Amino acid sequence: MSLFIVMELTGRSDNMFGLNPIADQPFASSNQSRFYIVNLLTTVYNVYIRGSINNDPLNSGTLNGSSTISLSTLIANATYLKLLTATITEVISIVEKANHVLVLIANTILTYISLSKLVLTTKTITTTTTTSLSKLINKYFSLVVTEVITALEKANHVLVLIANAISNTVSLTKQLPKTFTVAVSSVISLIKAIGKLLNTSSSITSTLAYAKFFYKVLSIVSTVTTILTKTGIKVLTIGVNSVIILVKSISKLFSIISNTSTSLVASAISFVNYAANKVIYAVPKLRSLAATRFITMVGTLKKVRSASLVKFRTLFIDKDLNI
Amino acid sequence: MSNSFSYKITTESELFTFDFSPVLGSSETINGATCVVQVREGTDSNPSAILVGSPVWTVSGTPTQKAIQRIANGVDGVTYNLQMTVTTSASNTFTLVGDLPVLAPINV
Repeated sequence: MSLFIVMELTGRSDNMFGLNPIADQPFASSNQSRFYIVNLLTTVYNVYIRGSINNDPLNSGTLNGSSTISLSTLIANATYLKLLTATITEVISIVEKANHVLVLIANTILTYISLSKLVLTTKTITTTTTTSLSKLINKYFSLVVTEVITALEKANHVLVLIANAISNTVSLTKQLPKTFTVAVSSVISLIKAIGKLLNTSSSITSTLAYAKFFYKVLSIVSTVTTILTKTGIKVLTIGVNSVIILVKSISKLFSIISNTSTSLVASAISFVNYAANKVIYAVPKLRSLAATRFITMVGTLKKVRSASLVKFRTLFIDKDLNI
Repeated sequence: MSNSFSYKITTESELFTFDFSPVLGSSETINGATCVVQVREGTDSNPSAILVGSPVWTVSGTPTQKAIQRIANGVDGVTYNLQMTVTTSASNTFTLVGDLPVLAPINV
């Protein structure tokens, strides 16, 4: 029986994984590591747990009815046990890091929402010139959309890393810290950019909920774009693309992490529902924004006229240039 | 394409000059002028009401190369189109067209 066990262990490792169980190299192939872990668990269960119920191999020297156990069997079992322990530790670490990543992503989303509310509640913006307003809007959209897309791409990258990490624990532990740093940097950049926007727009006075508008833009359906200006269409196009990226990310999150992070998945669902509910409010806001810009433009023309100190009361006939 | 005067406030009454000298000969002068006004933008059922009297083209009885029209009142937000047509001593006829925006004081 003990010979059978030795052959069984050796056979599995040699034929299925190309590994020598005694060698100090637990993962020769990252694609096989998860399967490898499962087989390890099965093997160790068979050897230690099930076997110990009948006969404790370390105390009695028997295993599943065998009265003797070879030295190679003990070495092989010890090696498997060591590998199993290391693997379990590694898997736990992966789960913890994956959770950490998802919490970070959730916090990032919440940060955007918080920033939106902050801008909405603290800044009432009025314009004195159409030019400055347009510049601010364009600048804001450019900054925020770029930052968000960057953040989402990073988040997506993180999720891809998690997916890969399921079958490659070593690479995950090496790459996650770097990804964390990049993702956090994006959020910080966004906060700084919006802070800068708030500073530069402090002299402007017109109720334009920039951040909230942006946030809602993310949820706009494509049919809404027909009522918008070219700038709006561009923004919405980017926003819709962002939504697609976000949805894809969350979808991956569902499929990959659903077994390990139920609460975070629920948070993601909550976020999607929240965004969808807010779509209703986006359309009138967009219309309001467009209307405000045009009204402001008319007002600006009048202001420009009033700013002129010289009144022209004489017209010169000039058929070549003017008439 | 049309020239444009600076805006006029509804409470103002001013002389607006149409200078034809660039196209007149050195000794050619105006011997008759007619000013017509239309609404280019906005609503004013009686745009001619902004014209005060008839255009003047003489100074102390001497003909000049300019036609001057006094304009007063007007409706806030309306842009008037002024058309000054003159005949000259050389039997030429010229028309100079210009827009005049009118704004109420509170909208200036």
